[in-house]
Amino acid sequence: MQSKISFFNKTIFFKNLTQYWLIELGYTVLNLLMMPVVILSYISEYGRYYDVNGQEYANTINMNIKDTIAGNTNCLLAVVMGILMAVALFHYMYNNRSSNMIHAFPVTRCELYFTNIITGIVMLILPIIITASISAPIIVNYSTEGLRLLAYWVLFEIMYSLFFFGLAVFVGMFTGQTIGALVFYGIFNLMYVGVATIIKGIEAFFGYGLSAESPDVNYPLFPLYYLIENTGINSNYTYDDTGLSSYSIEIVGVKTGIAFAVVGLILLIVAYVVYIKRQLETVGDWITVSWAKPFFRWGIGIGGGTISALIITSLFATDSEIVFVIEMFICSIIYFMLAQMLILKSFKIKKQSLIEGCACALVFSIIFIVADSCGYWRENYIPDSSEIEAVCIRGGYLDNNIVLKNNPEAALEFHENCLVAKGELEGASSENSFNMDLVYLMKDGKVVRRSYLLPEGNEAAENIFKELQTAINEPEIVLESLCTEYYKDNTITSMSCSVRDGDGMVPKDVSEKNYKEVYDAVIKDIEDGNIVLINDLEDYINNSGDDTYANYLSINFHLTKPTVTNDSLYYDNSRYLSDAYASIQLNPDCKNTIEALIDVGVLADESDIVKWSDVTSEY
Amino acid sequence: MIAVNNVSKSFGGVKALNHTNMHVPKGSIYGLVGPNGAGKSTIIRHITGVYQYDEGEILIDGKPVYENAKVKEKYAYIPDDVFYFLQANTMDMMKYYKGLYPKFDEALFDKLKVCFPEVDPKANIRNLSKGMQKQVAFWLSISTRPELLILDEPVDGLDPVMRRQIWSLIMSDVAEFGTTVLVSSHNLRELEDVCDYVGIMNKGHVLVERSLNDLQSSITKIQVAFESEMPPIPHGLELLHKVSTGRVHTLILKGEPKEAEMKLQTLDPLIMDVLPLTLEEIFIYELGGEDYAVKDIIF
Repeated sequence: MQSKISFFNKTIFFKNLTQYWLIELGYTVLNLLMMPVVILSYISEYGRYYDVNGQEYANTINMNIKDTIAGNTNCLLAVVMGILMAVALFHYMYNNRSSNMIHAFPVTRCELYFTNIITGIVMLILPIIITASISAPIIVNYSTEGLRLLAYWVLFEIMYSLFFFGLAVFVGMFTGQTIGALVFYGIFNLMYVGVATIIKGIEAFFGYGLSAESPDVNYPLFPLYYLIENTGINSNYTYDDTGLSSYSIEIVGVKTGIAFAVVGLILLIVAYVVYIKRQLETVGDWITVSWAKPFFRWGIGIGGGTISALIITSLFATDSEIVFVIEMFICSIIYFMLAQMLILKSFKIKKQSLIEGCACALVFSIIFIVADSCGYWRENYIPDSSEIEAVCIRGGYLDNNIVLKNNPEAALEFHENCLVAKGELEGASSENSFNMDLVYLMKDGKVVRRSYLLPEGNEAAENIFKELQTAINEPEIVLESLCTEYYKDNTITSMSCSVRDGDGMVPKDVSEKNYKEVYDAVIKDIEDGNIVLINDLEDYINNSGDDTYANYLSINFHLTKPTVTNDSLYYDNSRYLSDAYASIQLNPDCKNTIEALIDVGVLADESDIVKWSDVTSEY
Repeated sequence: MIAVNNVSKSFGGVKALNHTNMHVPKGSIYGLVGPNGAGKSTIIRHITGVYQYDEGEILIDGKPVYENAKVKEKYAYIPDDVFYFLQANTMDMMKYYKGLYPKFDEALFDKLKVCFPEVDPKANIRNLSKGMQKQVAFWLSISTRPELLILDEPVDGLDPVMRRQIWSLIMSDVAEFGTTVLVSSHNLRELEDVCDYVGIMNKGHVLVERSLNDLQSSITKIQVAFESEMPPIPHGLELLHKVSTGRVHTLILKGEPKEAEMKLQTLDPLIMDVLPLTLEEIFIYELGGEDYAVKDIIF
């Protein structure tokens, strides 16, 4: 009998369950293999090495259980299962025969849709519940906290499933083909990355000093990455000399997960509205909703056109903006027409489409030209010093990245000078030029990057560099940059000095008991201005190496507490590092350090300080 | 039973249905005929509530059909290309139909099993031949006890034996339960022996729909022979077509046979015979040059 509930039909529900039991079984088995089976294997494996009644065994198993649950708490399976379930349940909409038959049966679309949605949610959640139910009795004997984590795992997996299932169903309503559903699901998941990459590429091409960097993908519009990074169960390990010193578990992003689940449910509601309004004769079409068609062809046109233009310009090493716009104009029309052919399922091009394609390309070409002439690419933006947490300066052949925390003015001055001298510096070849990167780590977590070329023999470039060199080589900046603000309390974990060994330079360790003596001497030399961060510009541009000193003192620190170091520019999302590294080029001026190294037996005498030319000539 | 009133539908700017009107009386067998691309399947998909029309209205028993499950319970629909779920056998489909149609008669389903001896109810339907798949569709549809059977090209692609079997099933259902039948075909000959009403469709428009009785009483085919030249046709008779072989003339006249026979008798023919008209001849002469494409469905 037909159900009396208007949005649910038990016949369709059970038909779905019996038809797709294999997917359900596969998903359940996969979860079981990843959770209880892995836990059981740990229990069995460690039982061979430890006393099963001992505390060590219990602790190890406890930790492994928590680790397994933490490792399994991610959205990767949900991403795949979401689209798989959506396509399975709504595949009848992608085939004329099934669409006509199913919609002729005495059920309303409302009943059909919500029954499918309920089936999908049940089929996505059931394997999670089964896995948790089987895992719980195993876990309870070894880890009470593991049970709590298991509950969080269930919660997170349900939230992930709701979001990705909602997204998949929503996307699936806009197309009349199974392949279309898969493709659009992929596009929707990666759209933010694609758009952000294109924008960054355009900025780098048009904007002076803007480098072609990877976009910040940790953003909610890239849900796959954002959920992995910001939700789930994290296990944190701390090691010391004796091994693992502490282990903790952190549950992050429950509210974020809930928000995504709610978004998934909202998408399901919106998808229902699209389904109700969907014209069933559009089965087989790439785009089934008429108002979405212009977005599709314009999006493909401009996106494809811009990417192609960027690729062509990089292949032919062209930096002409006019050439870029012309390439983009032509490619946009081609992509627009391809999109239109997909929409119409025909290779015939109508005059009207051609006109629209040209209009699309023209509109965006004008936008690019206007934006460029208005300086839209933010090339003139200089961060306010009050908003900066630290600035990292990186340059070719610099021994260390330079980090400025309390005194970012030197970097800001350099930045401003480069913009003022844009006319003289822009268009410089990377050959015979020194490349300087500025990486601003802003207080709000954002990162601003700039990159400038300082060409050899350019007066403006030399003046700008000289000014930066003078400011940066101030002892307090050198000290902060090399040894961080905690330089007095840092724990040195290793120290070595490269010394000549007949045919080359080899590192010679400084023994631990002598760390302090050498380190104090280094600090003294920095304070006396004997150790600098930046040499003269010509040393870097004509870096043959022969005239530079070959002895380097390398020091690894463990910091008193995490802070921004000269390596932080590589870590956008975790700029506070617990370890730091300094590489100090020794020259005869570093008297205190050389004396200390002689004293501790690493160097024989001052003559051990050699230039590369001495080493290579002997070699 | 079915009222299609002024229905229009466009697909991407192309008018598939153009102010179409069609009326299927209760208890009748209505044959919808037209060449390929005439719009038969389109109108049927509107009647079954699959497609939504741009304008007009479609009523079944006076109620709109689109998104109306109660109305849809009244009919069973067999499309040209029947859909079955993956891996489903006849028994699985029976359970599905039973769940969706409140009036599904399981006893009748069991009883009808003898009519389909070649169909293995446990076999995957998708592995059966097209003819057997059609038989399963009829088996299931008849078991829903429909007030209306909507059949889109029900015997298309089947061999003559299978065609006869399918028609026999339809006729026995009509005879037993008084079911209304709407059946589409691109071949008028196919429907000639079974339909009470016929509608001819072309270019998204129903050109004509009549009962078979009306049609048969509206045109007369008479063979006459005279001693000499044939005299002029008497006043009141409209000549639609004339073929002469020597002194024998075959006339197609508008009007009832008795009236035509009486009026021609006044011309004192040597012989005069009223000949039977096939449905296709009726339509050819009825429509005349109104739309030459009609010939495509007859010849």
